Amino acid sequence: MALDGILTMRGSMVERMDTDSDVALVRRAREGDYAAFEMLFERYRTLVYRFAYQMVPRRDDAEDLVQEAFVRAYQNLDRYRDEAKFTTWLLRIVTNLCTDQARMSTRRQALEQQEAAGALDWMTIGDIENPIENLEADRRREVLRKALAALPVHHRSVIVLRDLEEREYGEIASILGCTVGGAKLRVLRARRALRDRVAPFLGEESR
Amino acid sequence: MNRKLDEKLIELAFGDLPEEEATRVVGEASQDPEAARALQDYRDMRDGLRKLSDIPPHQLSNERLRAAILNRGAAKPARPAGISWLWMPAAAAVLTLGTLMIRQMQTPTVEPSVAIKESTNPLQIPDLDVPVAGGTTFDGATMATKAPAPDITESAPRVADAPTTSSANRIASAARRSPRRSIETRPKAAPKVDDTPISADMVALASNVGNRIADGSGARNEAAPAPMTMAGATAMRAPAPTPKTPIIIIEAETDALTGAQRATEVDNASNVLVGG
Repeated sequence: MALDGILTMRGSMVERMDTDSDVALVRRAREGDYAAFEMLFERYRTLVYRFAYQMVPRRDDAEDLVQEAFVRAYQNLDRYRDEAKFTTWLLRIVTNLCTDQARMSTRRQALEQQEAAGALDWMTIGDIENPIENLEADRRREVLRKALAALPVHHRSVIVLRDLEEREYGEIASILGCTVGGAKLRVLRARRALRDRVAPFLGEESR
Repeated sequence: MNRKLDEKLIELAFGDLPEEEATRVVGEASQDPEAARALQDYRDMRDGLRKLSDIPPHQLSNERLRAAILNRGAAKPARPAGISWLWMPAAAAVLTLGTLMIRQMQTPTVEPSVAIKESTNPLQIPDLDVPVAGGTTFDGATMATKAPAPDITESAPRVADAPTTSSANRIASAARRSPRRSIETRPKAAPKVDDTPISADMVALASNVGNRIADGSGARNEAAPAPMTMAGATAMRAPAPTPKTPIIIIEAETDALTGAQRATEVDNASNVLVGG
């Protein structure tokens, strides 16, 4: 595979550096090359936005979250270590931002939980003579989305990372700053919590 | 249903179990209605989450990000940690240089000239109470026959050089070693005593030597008081000091309190004779 790269010699080793790799772009951005940082932004803004949208299911909020994450990344480029993937670092920033937001707006979260609970009322209050209508796929999906939004941040983030973004447990562990075993346990607990919220309503359909 | 089985059902529903274990758990769940129901709920939840992909497109732009960064005041990316330390040695160098310059400005530019006690008659060879063999005293008119000439320390009067506190101390301490002398400046080797009476030529020669020193010609200690080889009362004019040359006169008498020889500072050496 041909790469646009620079061949460098280090002793007996030949090291090939891709000038457009994340590591190279970060290095150039640190030296003042803002265009390199813009390349990183264009490369990963959609991925980060998808994650952010799942965390705060409102487009404007998700965009603000993404923008804030990249601004902080730019301000703290010297803290980025090449050992971890750049996306891992970005997603960690977004996760921390969501956690901070959640702490500052606990009341808002409580309201969201109430809203999520209220969104499920139609399942019991609705027309029981036509339960099939109540089981439309889009409504089911909406229920699930509301329940996910009502989860605490630490549960919601791992559900999004593992079950929506399909990240590996190793990367999730890096993002959360825990072990792989710890990441698996967190995902397990989050799934159980989500099921506890939706099972009473989804379970009715199948019974 | 126990908690451990519930965890296995979750892993089974989301595909996190190895194949062999998955088969075992499926068999176990089929025999427990509650476990079977839980497994189905988890599978439905997995399918529902996978369908949550209808995300509206974003409107993130480079310009918007750039504006946000500039508004935040983060115009420059963070510099690597190594560069941020460069200011420290630079600051240390500037501080050291400034300190040295201040010290140089505070200390006088010339060593104080050591001279004998001031005399009203500049031409008169001063009366030095120098012990000589035979009990005679040096009356200034003749040179001491056997008394060793004054020592010239390494801090001999060099007009061009800046005097230091240490050199002044050496002069003072040298004077203390020889309480009867006002001058303690000569090379370490004791000069040979010459009992030739002082002549006018000698005086002129001594003056020239002193003047050479005063000119800042860089005359070394060896050139300075060559008169010291003619031990004793060589009437040598003190080197003509620069206008601001401080002159320290060390007296023969000692202070009653401290036991050290008194020293006074004069502005000019017009009335001072240097001799030994």
